[in-house]
Amino acid sequence: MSEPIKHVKTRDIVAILGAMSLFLALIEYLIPKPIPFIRLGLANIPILISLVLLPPKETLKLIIIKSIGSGLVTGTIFSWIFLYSLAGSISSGLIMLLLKLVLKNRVSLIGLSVAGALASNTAQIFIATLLLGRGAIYIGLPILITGLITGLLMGFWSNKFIKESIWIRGLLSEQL
Amino acid sequence: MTFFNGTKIRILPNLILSLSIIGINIISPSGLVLLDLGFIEITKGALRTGIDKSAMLIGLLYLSKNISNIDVKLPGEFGLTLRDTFYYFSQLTNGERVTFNGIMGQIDNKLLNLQPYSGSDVKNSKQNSFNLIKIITLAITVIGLIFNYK
Repeated sequence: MSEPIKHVKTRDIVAILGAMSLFLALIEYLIPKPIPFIRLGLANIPILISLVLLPPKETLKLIIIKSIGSGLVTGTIFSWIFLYSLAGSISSGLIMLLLKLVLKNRVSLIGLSVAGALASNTAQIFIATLLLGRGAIYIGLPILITGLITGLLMGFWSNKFIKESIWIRGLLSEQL
Repeated sequence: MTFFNGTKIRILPNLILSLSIIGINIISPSGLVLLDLGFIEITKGALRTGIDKSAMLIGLLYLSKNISNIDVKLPGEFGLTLRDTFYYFSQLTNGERVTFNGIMGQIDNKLLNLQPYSGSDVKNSKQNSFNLIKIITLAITVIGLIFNYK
């Protein structure tokens, strides 16, 4: 049996965070949801972590991997749900990256997460309106409120993970 | 396809998904009024559209679930990252079960024990091309179905 990873390359970090994202997407898929369109967004935690660990180009790569991979893992890649997910992931990822680049350390992970969640939900409502008709607008407000709450939660969990994770501590000490 | 694969078909999530899609469609009335609930009219056209859309969505969900079982290796640097992602993902899903209580600590532990990819970085092969052709063919079929859908 080979040794656990000691000297991690950037590609490995992207792949590991991508795998973590798919793993969390799978866990979330298995949790029964009372309302199908409302989700926690656990798979976004690795994206938030990547904003601390990786350069913007690699974070973009991770966002694409997360979108394609979670579509495959949850079996939605050739369905409308994949379009929602793709629109949500890309818009949220771009907003978070932009805010991080502009505001640097003046914005917390919780702030980034909330902004990302709201961007994601807005994009999803737009796609829902295109696919399901104007009726989808009526579910817009509850989705945005839920997005605000889940954004706060995911930001809090990402912060906690970065502070407590031995794996991340190891990566950061390697980068120094 | 799902039935012959032996994959379990879960009725309740599909039913909830169908009902919510039908519910969203009912909000926009069209055609003959079947039932007037006072605050909303249930129309034949809206009901039909909702049923059609939900059936299409669930069908596509199961189709993509089956397609995801095909082993695809994409060429290039991005393909290698994708391959590594699925390699690490299989390690995360194997081994000790994760419980929701203290999930982050358990995931951290799994990350610390990941094994690096030891296979060769094959960028292209006949098998890869064949898998890619299979995926593209299925994707074209599905896209064709979507665009012919009225």
